[in-house]
Amino acid sequence: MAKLVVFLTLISLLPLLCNSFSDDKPSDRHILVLLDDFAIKSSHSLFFKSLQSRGFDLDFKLADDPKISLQRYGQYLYDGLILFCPTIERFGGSIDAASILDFVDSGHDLIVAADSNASDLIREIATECGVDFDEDPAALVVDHTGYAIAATEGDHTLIAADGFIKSNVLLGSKKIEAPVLFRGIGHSLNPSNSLVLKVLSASPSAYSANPKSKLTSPPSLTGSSISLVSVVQARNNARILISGSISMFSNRFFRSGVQKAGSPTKHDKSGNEQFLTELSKWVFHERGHLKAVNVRHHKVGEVEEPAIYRINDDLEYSVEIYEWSGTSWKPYVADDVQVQFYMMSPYILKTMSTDGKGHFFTSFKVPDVYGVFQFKVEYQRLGYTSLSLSKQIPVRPFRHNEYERFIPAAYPYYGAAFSMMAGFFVFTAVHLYNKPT
Amino acid sequence: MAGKAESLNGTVKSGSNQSGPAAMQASAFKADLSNMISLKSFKLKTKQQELLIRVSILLLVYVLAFITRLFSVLRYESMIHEFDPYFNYRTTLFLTEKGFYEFWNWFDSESWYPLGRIIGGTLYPGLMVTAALIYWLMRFLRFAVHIREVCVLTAPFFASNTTLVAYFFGKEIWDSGAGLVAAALIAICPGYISRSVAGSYDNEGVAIFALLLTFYLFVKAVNTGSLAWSLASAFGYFYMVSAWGGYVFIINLIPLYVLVLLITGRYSMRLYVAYNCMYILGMLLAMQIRFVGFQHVQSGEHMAAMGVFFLIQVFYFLDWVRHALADAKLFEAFLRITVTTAVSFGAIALGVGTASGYISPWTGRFYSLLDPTYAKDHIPIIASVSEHQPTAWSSFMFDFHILLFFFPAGLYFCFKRLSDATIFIVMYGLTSMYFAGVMVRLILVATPAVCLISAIAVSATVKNLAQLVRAKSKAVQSGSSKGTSTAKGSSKGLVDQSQPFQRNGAIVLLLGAFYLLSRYATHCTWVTSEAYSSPSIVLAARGAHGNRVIFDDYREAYYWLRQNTPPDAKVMSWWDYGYQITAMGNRTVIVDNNTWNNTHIATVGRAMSSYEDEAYEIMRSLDVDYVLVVFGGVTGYSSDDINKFLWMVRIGGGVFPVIKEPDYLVNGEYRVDKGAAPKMLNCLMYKLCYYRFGELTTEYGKPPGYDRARGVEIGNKDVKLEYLEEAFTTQNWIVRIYKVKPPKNRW
Amino acid sequence: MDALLRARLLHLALFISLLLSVLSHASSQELQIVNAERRIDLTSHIIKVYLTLKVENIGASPASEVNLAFSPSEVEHLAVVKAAATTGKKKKRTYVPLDVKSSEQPAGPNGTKYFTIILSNPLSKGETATLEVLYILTRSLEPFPAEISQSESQLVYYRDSAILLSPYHVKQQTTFIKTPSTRVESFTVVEPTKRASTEIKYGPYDNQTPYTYAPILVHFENNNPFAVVEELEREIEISHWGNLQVTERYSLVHAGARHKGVFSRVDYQTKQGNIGVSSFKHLLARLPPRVHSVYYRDGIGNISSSRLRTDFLKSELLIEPRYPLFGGWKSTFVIGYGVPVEDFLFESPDGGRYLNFTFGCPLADTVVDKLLVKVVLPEGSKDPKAVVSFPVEQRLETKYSYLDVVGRTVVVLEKRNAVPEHNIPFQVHYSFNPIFMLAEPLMLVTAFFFFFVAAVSYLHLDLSIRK
Repeated sequence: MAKLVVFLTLISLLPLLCNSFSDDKPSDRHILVLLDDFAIKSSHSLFFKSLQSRGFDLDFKLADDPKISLQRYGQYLYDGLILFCPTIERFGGSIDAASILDFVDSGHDLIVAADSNASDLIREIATECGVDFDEDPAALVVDHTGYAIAATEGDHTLIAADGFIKSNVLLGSKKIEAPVLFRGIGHSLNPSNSLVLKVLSASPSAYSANPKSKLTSPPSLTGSSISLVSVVQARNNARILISGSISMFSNRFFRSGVQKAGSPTKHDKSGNEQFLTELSKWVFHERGHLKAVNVRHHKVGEVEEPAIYRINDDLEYSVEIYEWSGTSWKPYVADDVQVQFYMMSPYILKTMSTDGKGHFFTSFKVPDVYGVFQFKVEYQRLGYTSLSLSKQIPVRPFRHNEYERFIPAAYPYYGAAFSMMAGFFVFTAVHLYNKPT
Repeated sequence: MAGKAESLNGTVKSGSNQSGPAAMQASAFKADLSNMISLKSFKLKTKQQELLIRVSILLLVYVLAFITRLFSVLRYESMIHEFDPYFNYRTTLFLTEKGFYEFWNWFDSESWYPLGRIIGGTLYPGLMVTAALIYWLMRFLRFAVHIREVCVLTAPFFASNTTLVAYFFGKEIWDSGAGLVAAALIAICPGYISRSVAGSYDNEGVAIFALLLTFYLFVKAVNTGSLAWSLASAFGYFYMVSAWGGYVFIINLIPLYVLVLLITGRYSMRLYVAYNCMYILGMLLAMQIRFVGFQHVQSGEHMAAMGVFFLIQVFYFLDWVRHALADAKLFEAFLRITVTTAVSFGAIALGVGTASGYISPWTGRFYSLLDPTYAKDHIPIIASVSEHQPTAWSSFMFDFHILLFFFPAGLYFCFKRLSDATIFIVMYGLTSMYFAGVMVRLILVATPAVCLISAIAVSATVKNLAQLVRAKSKAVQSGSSKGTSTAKGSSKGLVDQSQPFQRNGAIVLLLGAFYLLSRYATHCTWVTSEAYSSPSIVLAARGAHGNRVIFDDYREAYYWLRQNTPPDAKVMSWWDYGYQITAMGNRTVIVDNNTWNNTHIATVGRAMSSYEDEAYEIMRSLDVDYVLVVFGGVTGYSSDDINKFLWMVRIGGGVFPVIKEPDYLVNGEYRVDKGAAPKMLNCLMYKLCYYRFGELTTEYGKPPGYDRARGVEIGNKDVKLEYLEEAFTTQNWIVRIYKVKPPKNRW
Repeated sequence: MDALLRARLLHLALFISLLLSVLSHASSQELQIVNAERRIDLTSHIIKVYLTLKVENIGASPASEVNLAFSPSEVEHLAVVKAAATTGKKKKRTYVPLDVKSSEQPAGPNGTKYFTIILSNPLSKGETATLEVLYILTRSLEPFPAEISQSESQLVYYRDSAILLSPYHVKQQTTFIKTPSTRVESFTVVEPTKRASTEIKYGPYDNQTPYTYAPILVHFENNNPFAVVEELEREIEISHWGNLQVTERYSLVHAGARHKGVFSRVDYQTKQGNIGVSSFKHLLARLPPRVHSVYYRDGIGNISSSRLRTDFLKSELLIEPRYPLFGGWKSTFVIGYGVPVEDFLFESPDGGRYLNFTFGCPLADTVVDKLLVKVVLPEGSKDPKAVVSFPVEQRLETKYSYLDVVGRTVVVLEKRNAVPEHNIPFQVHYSFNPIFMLAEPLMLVTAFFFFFVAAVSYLHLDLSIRK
C-alpha cells in the first residue's frame, strides 16, 4: 500500500517538474508516444533516436494502456504527443479525442500518423484539425507516373513525392534533394480552415483509390489537391503534423534508396529522414518560434510611456523580436514587420525599420482623431509563430489652453471690443458733463 | 407655532406633513387678518409683525419643502437614483478630485468605446459645479461630509430655494399673500417633487430653480426697468444655461412675451432696457458654456430671440422718429416703409442664413416638441424613452391634483387685473401647459407656472371671502377700511345689507377652500411617499407574508464587474445601463445614456438582435469582453431587456436595414413563447436572457421556464451558447453577465 | 511558480545531504530533546501546530533558553509563536506562559531561523522540562490544482518535514497531521507512517541528529473558506460625549484555488452543497456587546444582506457579500458601529485616560495580511502611548473631523499577517482636558449668535439711497 502511495506522490509531483513550453525555453521536453504495438518502437527507431538525440525524452506507451493519461490535476504531464497508432479504436485510460484536442488547445504539439484503414478516432482528430482523410478506408494514394521504382514491382502505391512546400522555416535551409517515399492514405484540406498547410503534396498524376478493387467511379481525391503531409499552427501556436502514412517514418523508408519513375537519378537514400527530422524540429518548436518583448511607445524626445496621447502628437513605437534557434534566442531579422495605429480600422500602417539586433522601431504622428486607439502588430509569416501584440492607448483632443492664442484673424474683434469700451467711456463723460442747451 | 409644526415635520411620518400646508393656509390667512386687528391688540408695529409672520411661514415652507423630499432616504438609503444622476455623480466626483480645469478638459475613454467622449464639452456643468462648490464650502467649514451626501441632498435644497423664489415671484405679480400661497403650493407639488426627491441628482433639480429665478428677475426688470435687475436676470439665465438644455424654453418664451407686449401696444422704455440688457448679456454669458457655444447665435432655436431683439430696435427707432417729425401722415408713410423693409430684410437674412447653413435648422428634439408625432416616425431613439411619451390626463391629475382646477380660475384673475407681470405668467402658464401635454417630463416645467397661477386664484378668493367675513367688524370700525386690493370703500353699504347670507356663504366657501387645500396636501404626501421615492436601482416588492423584499441585483452585478473583471474590460449592454456601469462598475461601456451617436447605438442594437455568430463578429470588432443583459423573468420585473427589445430592433434597423422588425413579430404580435418568431427565438438577446432558464421553476404549479414578467412559458428552452459563456448571474437573475470567448483555436 | 518550487526541492535536498555534516552552534550542544510530539492541524486554512517538547539538559552549565528552528519558508508565514512550560501530571497540570523572542543568532544551515524560549527558571544539569509550543502558519497551503471549476472541490498541498527541524538531538518524536476530511489524494511516506481516517501519523522516529529534514508533501481536500483580508483598516474614534465609533474597511479575497470557467447561477441555486463547495457567501463578525447603529456598506451603497444578533456578552454580525466568493474573487466593504464609550475608556491611576479595545480582525477565522488599527483621540488630547503585547509598528497622524480646528491625533498601529489569536486587548494611554469638550458647541453657539445679530441689525437699518 505504502509503495502505491509513494508512486502516487511521485505522479503528483511529476507535473510540477515538467511544464509546457515557457518563454525562456520554448522547445518541448517530454513527449508521449502512443503506439499500436511496441514493434513500431524498434521499426521506427531512427526517427525516435533523432528526437532523443535532440534532448527530448520520449515516453512510449501502448495506445490502449489503461494507465495512460495526459494530465493530472489540470496540469499536463507532457509537452508533445506522437500518435503512431493508426488503427486504434479507443485509447486506454482517460484519453479520448476531446482530451487530445484540449491538449492541443492548451498549447501543446501533436504528430498524427495515419495509414490506410485508419480508425475513425484518428480520422476524427484529423478532421478537427481541418484534415479530411479519404472516406474509403482501404484507399491508398496511387501514382502511375510519380511512383518509386522498387524491387517488388506492384501497384504504384509507393510514391516518391517531391512536392514540398517552399519554406525554409518548415523544412530547414538545406534543400531536400531526394524525393520522399510515401505509402499510405491521402487527405484533403478543409477549405474553411485557414490555418492548415499542405507540406508535402502529391503529384498531379496521383489519385486516391483502393488499388485492390477495380476503379468504378472516378476517385474523390485526385492530383495535387491530395495532401500527403500537412501541418497546422493553431492560434495559440500549438503545432500539429498530420501524415497519411506511418511507414514513411519507418527505418526501412529512412534507409532505402529511391528512384523516381522516369527520372534518371537514383538517390541511395530517400529524403524521408531529412524531411521528417526537419519537420519534427518545426513541430516541437525548435525552429520558427518568435517572441516579442518590451513593447514600448513614447512621445518623441521623451522616455516614459504616457497614459494618454493628444491628437497630432509625434510618438515613437518600438518592439524587440527574437527567434528561438533551438538552443538560444537569436535576434529576428526581417523588413516586413508592420505596426498599426488602430481604432475600428487602421488609421496608420507603418513598416518598422530594424537595426538587425531584433530591435524594431518606427515613429509617426497621431492622427487628428480622438478616441481609444490600439498599437497593433499582427505578424503572421509562413511557418513562424504568429505574433499579435495590441496595446490600448486613448487619444485626447486639445486642452482649452493648447490652442493658438492671439491669431491675427481675431485682431478686428479685439479692436472692436476696445474701441467699444473707449467709446462708451467717452459717451458717458460727454453725457454727464455737458448741459443740454 | 413654528416650533411645533417643525418638530412635527422633523419626524417624518406620513401624515405629519399634512399639518404643514394646512397650517400655512391658516397662518397665511392670519397674516392678512393680523394687519387689521394689530392696532388694538399688539404693541408691535404692523410692519414688523407682518414681517415676522411672513418670515416664519416662509421658514416653515422652506423646511417642509426639504423634508418632504427625504422619503426616499428613509425608505431606502442615501443613494443616487435612476440613470442620468449616476453620470452626474461620477462627473461631480471627478470634479471634486481633479479640480475644475481637468473637468473642463475631461476626455472620457471609458464610455462610447472606442470613440470616447469629450465630457467637458458635452455636458451642462451647472449641476456638478454647484454640488462641488457646496461640498468645498462644507469642507472649508470643517463639516466632514461625503460628496455623495451633498449630491443626494442638492435637489431638495434647491427645491427649498425655489419656494423662496416662488414667494417673491408671486409677490411681484400679485401680492405677498399670493406669494406665500405659491411658495406653499410649489413646496409639495408632485409635478416638481418627481424630479427633485433626495437622490435624484439631475439637472432639472437645479434647473427649475434657475428657470423660475430668471423669469422672476426678468419680470422684476420689466416692472422696474432697472439695468440692475435685468443684469441679474441675465446671470440667472446664465446659470440656467449652464444647468439644463431646457434654457431654450426661456430664450423662446421671453422674446415671445416681448413680442406680445409690443403687439398689444405695451411697449415701454422699461421693456426696452430689460430685454436688450438681458438678451445681449445673457447671450454673451451663455456662449461661455462649451456645450452651447456658437449655437446661441447660429442654431434655429435661438433665432426668435435675435429677431425680436432687432424688432425692438426698430420700435425704438420709430418711437424716436415719431418724436422727431411732427407730421402724422409723413410718419405713417415712414412707418410703412421701415416696417416692410425691416421685416423683408429679416426674412431674407434668415433665408440666406439657413440656405448657407450658417443657421443650423431645428433639432429633432425641438421638432418633436412642436409636433408630438414627429419623434415616433423619425427618431426612434427619442421615442423609445418613456418620459418622452405624450402625457395622459391621469398623470396631469396625478401631478397637479386640485391645481388643475385652480389654474383656470387663476387665469381669470390674471385677465381681470392685466399687467405686464400677469401677462407674462399667463403666457408662461399656457405655453408650458402645451409642452407638458406633449412630453411627460415637461410637466416639470409647467409646475411652477401652475402653482403660481393657482396661488393667485387661492389667495384672491380667500382674501375676498375673508373680507366678507370680517365685513361686520369693519363696518363697526371707522369708515376708512384698510386698503385692500379688491373691495372698494363704496361696496360697504352693499355689504351691510346682505350681511348674514353673504357671511355664511363666505364661511362655507372658506371652509371648502381649506378642505380642498388639505386634500391637496394629503395627496401630495401620499404621491411623494408612494410613487416618487423609489430609486429604480434597488427594487422593493411585497413578499408572501406582506414583508418587504429588496432586490439589489443591479448593484450586485455592477460590484461584481468592478471587483472581478480586468480593469480595461469592455462591457456591452443596452444604452440604458451605460451610465450605471461606468459609475458603479467602473468599466468601459460601448454605449450609454448620452445618446449622441445613433450609429453606435444601432450597432449594439443590431448585435443584440442578430444570430449569435453574426453578433460575435460585431462584438469582436468592438473588442467586447462582457455582455450584460437585464432579465425580469424570474422576479416578474417588467422593464427588462426583453420588453425593450423591440426598440433595439427598431433603432438597429433604422441604420442597418438587415434588421427588420417584422422578423421578430408573429403577425404583428410580440411574443416569446412557443409561437414566437424563429428569429426572435434565436437572436442573441433571447439566448442571453433565457440561457438555462428552461431548467428553472420560477413559480409553483407552473412548468419550468415560466417567464413571470411575460406570464408565458418560454419557447426555446435548451439555449446553447457557442461564442459566449455565462460569467455571472445575480441572485434573482435580474442582471446576467456573459463573457465573450476568444476565437476558435484550430480554425 | 515551479521555478521557485525547483529551488525549494533543491534546498530540501541540501538539507538531507547536510544531515550529519552540520556542526551547530554552542548552546544547542548542552540540550537534547527527549521526546517531541507535534500535532499539525490542517482543518482550516490557518495551520496550527501544537508542539510538546520534553527538554533535558545534558550539558554542564544550566541552560536558560531553548531554541526552536524554522525553515525560511516557514518563517515568512509564521504568524504566532507561543510557549508555555507545563508541570505536574495529567490531572493537575499547570501551564506557565513563557515569552518567546525571535533570536538574533546567525542563521543556521540553509538559512534556518531561530526563536528562543526564555525559561522561567534555568534548567540545571540532568533536569528535564516539558514545553508546550503553539505556532501558527498562514498562507502555506498551496492549492493544487491551482484552478478549479464551479463543481470541483478544492485540493491543497501541505509541505513540511516528517522529522522535527531542531538544533538539538531528538531522541524520540512523532508527528500527527489532521486533515479536514478523509479525502487524502496522496502523502509522502517516511516509514513508519500510518493513516487513520482523518489523521496521518509520522513516526515514532528515534535518535534524530540536529537539523534532520525529511520533506513530506500531503495532498488533501480542504473546502474551508480561504477568507483572507488583504488589508483591514480599523478606525476607532473616541468621543467623550459617550460614543466610540468604529469603522472597519475590508478588502477581502478568496485565496483558495482560482475559479475557472463559468459561474452558473442555476447550478449554484439548485444543487446546493455539492456545487461551489469551496466558495463562501457568509462571514461572521464578532462585535463587542451593547453595539448600536451598525452599518454594512461598500463603495456603491448599503448592502442589505446582513443580520445582527446581540446579547450582553457579545454581538454577532452575519454579513453576506453582494455575491458568493469563489477562488480569486474579491470584495471590498465597510462595517461601522458605535459602542458606549464607558465600556472601553477608563481613568488610569495617574489621572490620564486609556482606551482598552481588542486588536485584530473581528471576522471569524480569517487571515489579515496587513492590519491597520487607527485610534482617533479627541481633539486636544496629549502625549498618546500605545501598549500592545506583541510587536507592531507605530506612528502618529492627524485627522480632521467635524468642526476640528487643530485636528485630532491618530495613533496608527500596523501589524502584518494577523490571525484570530491576535484578537487580544491593547491599550492607548493619553491625557485629555475636559474643557476641550466644550470647544465645538461654543463655536456653534457664537456662530448662530452672530447670525442673529446680523439679522436684527439688518432689519433695523434702512439702506435705501433716496430718502
